[in-house]
Amino acid sequence: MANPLDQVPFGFAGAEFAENPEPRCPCILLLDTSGSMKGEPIAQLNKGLVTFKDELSADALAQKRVEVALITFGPVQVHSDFQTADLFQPPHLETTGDTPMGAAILQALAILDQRKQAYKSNGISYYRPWIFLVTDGAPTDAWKEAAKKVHAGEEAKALSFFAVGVEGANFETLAEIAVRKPLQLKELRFRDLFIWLSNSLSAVSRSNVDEQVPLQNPTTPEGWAAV
Amino acid sequence: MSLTALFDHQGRRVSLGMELGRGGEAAVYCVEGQPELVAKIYHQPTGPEKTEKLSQMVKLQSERLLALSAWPIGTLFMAGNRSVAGFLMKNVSRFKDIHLLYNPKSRTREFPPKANWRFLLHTASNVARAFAAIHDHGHVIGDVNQSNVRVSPETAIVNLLDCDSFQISANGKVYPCEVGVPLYTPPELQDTEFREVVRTPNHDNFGLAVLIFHLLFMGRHPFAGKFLGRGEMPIEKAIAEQRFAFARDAQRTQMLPPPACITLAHLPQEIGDLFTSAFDSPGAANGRPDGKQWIAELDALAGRLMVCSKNKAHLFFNGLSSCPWCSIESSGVLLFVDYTIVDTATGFSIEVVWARILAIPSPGEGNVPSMLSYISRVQPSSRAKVAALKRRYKVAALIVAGVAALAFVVTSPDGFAYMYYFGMVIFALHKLLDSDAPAKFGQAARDAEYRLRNLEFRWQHEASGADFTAELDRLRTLTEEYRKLPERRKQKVRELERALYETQLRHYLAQFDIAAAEIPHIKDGRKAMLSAYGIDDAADVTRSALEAVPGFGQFLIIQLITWRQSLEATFKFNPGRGVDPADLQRVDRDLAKRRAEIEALLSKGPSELNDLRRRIIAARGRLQVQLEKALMDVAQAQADESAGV
Repeated sequence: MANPLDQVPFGFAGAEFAENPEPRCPCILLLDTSGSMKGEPIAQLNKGLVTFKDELSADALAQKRVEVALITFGPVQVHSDFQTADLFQPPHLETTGDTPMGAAILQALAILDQRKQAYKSNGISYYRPWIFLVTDGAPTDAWKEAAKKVHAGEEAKALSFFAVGVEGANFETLAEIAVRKPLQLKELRFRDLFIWLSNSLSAVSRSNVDEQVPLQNPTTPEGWAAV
Repeated sequence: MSLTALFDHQGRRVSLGMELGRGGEAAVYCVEGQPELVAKIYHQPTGPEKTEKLSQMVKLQSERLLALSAWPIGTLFMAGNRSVAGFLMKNVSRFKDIHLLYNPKSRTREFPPKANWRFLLHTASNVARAFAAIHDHGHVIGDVNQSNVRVSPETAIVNLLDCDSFQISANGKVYPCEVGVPLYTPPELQDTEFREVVRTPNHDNFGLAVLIFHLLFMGRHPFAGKFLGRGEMPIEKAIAEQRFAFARDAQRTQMLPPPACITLAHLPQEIGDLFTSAFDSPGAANGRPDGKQWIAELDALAGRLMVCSKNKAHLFFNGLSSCPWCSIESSGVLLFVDYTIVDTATGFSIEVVWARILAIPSPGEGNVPSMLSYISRVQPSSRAKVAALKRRYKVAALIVAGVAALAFVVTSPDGFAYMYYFGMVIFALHKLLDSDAPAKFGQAARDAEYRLRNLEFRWQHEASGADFTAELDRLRTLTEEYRKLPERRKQKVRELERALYETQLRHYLAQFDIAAAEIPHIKDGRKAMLSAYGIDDAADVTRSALEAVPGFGQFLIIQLITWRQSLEATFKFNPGRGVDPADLQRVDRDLAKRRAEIEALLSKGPSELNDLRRRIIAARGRLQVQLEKALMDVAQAQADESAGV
């Protein structure tokens, strides 16, 4: 059996886990920054991200447990890899390119796999990961494989995939990708969406690793979403 | 519910103040006029069972219980309602959640520097005392978790929260605890409905051992480790299957302790035995160590501690040959911070702080993966090669077909009649040899380059040593400024002395108000005009100031200057009076303010610099892989593109 006090190279990737061994609650934000988001939508999205950070900061335990990664498309770019909520800095996103949603989902699944490996090799327990997709369009690339993997992941309880469509989104395709019914964002209420997301993640991060947490319903008349 | 009219159990009105916190079933408020109390008010009115439980708890309160918990002191009711709306308890806002203490990342930020391993041991022993006392009273905590135990950052005194969820025994009746957090729940209760079991102290003792483990093992959970088998091993499952990750028999548990963590071998045999019997043996039957056993062994260990010769913040069991914390921290982990010297306002030592700053090694420039090493390795992909080949065949085939057709058309008598068919043939050839267009490979290359540029920008931004150097420079500038503060004071005093004559003169002249003075041709109207322009006394009278006042020509200006000169003639410079104490005071006040500012900035310097350094190193680890892949992609895409040309 390897001695845990064997020399470890400096700056080894596990330092963050030794300093904070709390169980992790990983969440990937998969955000559409295609050209059609230009103007008010992207401005509201950016404001929403700032709110997200503020809300998470209010919960000392969630700050240590919730880990946020941010991927934008297109082109697909890992804006920030997984980091605990206290380190997450809301970026200022700009609109570019088309909507390679399929590739973005595959990228999300890939960094999620990497992260799970890091958790395992560092003896860190984790909650069912969340992937949170926000889009205002339809995929401009092949998405069938991504949809297959999302379904397999939900089936195996290895992830929870939420799709939120801004006005103009192709809800038929979203419904084919996600197992859960896609939600439609009312107006551009990104702020309310991110408050809900933060509250939900806080609740999950206080639950049991295996438990299903009843989430606040966002589709009430005063909620941010419609189905 | 509306909180306007609340009464305690003796019918006295209780007014609530600010909301302090909010949970799933209740919110906590300040109590007006009683800062030592808070009120916990349920969102929904309680049922008869809970009403009875809380009333019993209020009756059961004792000095001992109140010293270690936020025990209900008095029930609260709404007007005209017999069911309990909430209760009063002591204000524990000076205490902090225990997870902020045992987690190294939180501890270094939220707790004072004295929160070293001795403090952690002391807290563990106090937690054991609190549990033992509750059990002595015949009650069971039940819902042990990371947020129900609070610790004083000053004294390590422990207080238990959420007492209303405890399992209470009173008058032969048991009021159950209906909740629990699986991470602190023993194997025999995993996956059972909490409201259906009568809890025992032995159940609590599992949670107690987990909390003590957290405190001694830097926030690690005893059942979180590396699972050697296949599949997932969440903590709840590991508890249910009794897979103690630090067990002496890893063969059976198939679990290894996580990296960069101490093990049972770093503790006295006796403590290791307690953890083993709490986690690794059928503790349900045999009985787990109780609070009293823990107190004895933890206090014994506190008497056998040694301070590391290299780092005063490191304390460890003196039966070890070397410091386990040094070994772990050498890998870049930060577990203990020794701030004692820099945090006290009076004891600030610039040399010590600067030495600490310099002690943090630079992350260096970092090796950005180089493009060159990739270009040489890359061959165009088979798709690009096929595309290039097809394109060459196509050009050749089209030329051959075109020439043949032209020859036929020209030489054959009815050649032109066949032109239509030739067209068809050439079009079919074109289709047959259709291939990926060069533009597509060009686009792929541009996309790959775009991704690479993005990553390179992020590397510059997050992973190069530039931020570290800039931060170090900023701290160096501050340190130099701090060192020069005494020099700056001397310089200021010299300036004051040089200006002494001027100052004395100014102060002398300032005694002569224009309003009260007899100056030829300057009557009340003109005086008011002067005052409006800020010229109130003889010291204010200068040519440049007067020239700015409307209506004041040379004649009037000369009148005023003459007045001032007549006063100057009566001024006697007194070198013995020295610098005005008020001026000196102002200099000292300014410098003291700046001194405090710099001390605050520099005190945070070492930890901020260390954070930055670790962020940079972590970013490198993350970006390295992505960059290598992006470089590979670009090299490939460019090779494909040039193959196609």
